Amino acid sequence: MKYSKGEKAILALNHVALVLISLVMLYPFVNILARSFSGTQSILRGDVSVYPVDFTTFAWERVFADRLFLSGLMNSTVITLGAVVFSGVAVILTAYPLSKSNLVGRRILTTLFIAVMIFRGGPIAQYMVFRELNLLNTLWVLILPTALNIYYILLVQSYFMTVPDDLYAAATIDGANDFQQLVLIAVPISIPIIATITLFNAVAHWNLYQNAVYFIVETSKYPIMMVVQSIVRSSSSMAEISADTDVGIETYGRETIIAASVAFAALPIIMVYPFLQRYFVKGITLGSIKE
Amino acid sequence: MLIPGLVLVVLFRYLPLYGITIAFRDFHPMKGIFGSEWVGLKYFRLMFSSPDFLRIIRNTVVLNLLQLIFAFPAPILLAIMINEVGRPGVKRAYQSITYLPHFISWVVVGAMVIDFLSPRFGPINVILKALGADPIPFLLREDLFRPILVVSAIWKEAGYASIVFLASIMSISPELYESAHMDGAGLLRRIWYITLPGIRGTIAILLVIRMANFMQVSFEQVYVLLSPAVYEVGDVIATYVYRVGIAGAQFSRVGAVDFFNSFVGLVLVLITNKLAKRFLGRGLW
Repeated sequence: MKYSKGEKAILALNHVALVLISLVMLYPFVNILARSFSGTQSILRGDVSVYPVDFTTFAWERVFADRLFLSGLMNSTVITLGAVVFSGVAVILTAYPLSKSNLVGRRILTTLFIAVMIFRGGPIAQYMVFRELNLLNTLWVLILPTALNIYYILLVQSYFMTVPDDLYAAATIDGANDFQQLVLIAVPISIPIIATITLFNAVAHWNLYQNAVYFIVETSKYPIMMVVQSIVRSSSSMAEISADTDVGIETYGRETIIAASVAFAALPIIMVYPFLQRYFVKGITLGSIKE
Repeated sequence: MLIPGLVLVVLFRYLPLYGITIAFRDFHPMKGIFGSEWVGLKYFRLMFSSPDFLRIIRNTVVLNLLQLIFAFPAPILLAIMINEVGRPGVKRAYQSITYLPHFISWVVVGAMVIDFLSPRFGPINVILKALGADPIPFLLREDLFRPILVVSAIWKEAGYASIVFLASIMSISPELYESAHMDGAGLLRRIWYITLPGIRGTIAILLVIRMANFMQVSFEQVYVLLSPAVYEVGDVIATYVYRVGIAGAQFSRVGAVDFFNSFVGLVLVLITNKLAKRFLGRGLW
């Protein structure tokens, strides 16, 4: 398609705008990485933008030596892995029966699961229930309740349903029971979607914050995001926000340490992002295709 | 095989629905839920007459409106812009870059915002100071807090939200564009008369979903940026429920707010679904 002079100009402008937008998207990440390697005085003077000033690695060393930080890291790793495994199994186990058209009461059960997507008890109600179940202040509270994501169940279910019934029938004749059919037939076909939801699950649990704030009080059980947030809250910027003028003598290198903590929290996701990007996209387009 | 799934759902979704009755009881930690006395609508009466309540409702609604007006169209605009890029490699690059922030936690993004707006070393304030002006404590200003929330939400989510629109745009038949071009329609006209109407269905569905979530404002986003100085404009239902209800252990009193919130949410979903069926021919289910 040939463009007129005026249109070419608009398209060029479009590019410029998009480049600017991209820079705006990327700048904060670059900046925080730079700050994590910069001297605190330089940061406070506002000298640091895209590259480190007063290069130093002490903040990163301090971060990795900090007990709270390390326990947060441990907790988050446990939570993420646990959630991925537990939820993955739960979702698959739930999606499989629901995908079989000859299941008794299928419509009712499916509606049951979908209805929960629509309305839910609020945090206070959840708190009460967790309290009774003795889940408060444990890592389990961050894994169990969110294990069954109805959205994931529907996605997996739709993949399962693409398996022709004859295949299952043939397997039954050969003597395979339900479990074997699930693992040997349904799952291999659905690897792409399972990979996608595993990814989404992992990211979501690594980033966990809200539920942790609500339901965990012991600092040793804090997931990494809570640790980072408490570090940020102690920053001089935040201290000014909280009108806590007792900042006085700064803990040496505080700003750099904060930058390092925050940068570290974002790092895993940024690192896997280029490789797993297409899985991320798949997730949302699959959802919209359903429409 | 369904048993685990059922157990989980019942336990964690249906049981809390019962836990909601805490709003109707005078909760006493020693007695547990069942042991606590039933007081009927006492806390609801208290709630409706409390100035706190009006404030958080107002903030939640206003914030949502702002999001609707500014944050909802942003991804559409972005999608159109990215779509007009010729080279597929460059297109993909723009896509990848813009939806990266979505996957980063609000804790991290919040920290970035706090530092960006820092009175000591945030870029804007550094420039201001160089020009001899006073630095602005952005996050303490009641008049600036809400815009900050909306803008940072756009930064974080616009890219990811634009994926759906992009997918929708790409499903528009190229022939439409060709014939419009041959009829002499310029670039902007083509966008206005073909692209936009082409994604009308997608926009409608997403709008319905957005409306159904109207009373919900992201807890994490507001919580990481909130401070007492801006409670008046920034305290929303979610943050209030946490701060006073859970951290403040006023379970029954705030339980009423929680219940109200869930109830309104349910009503909204049902209404928007009915409306969608009337005007769009289809609803969410």
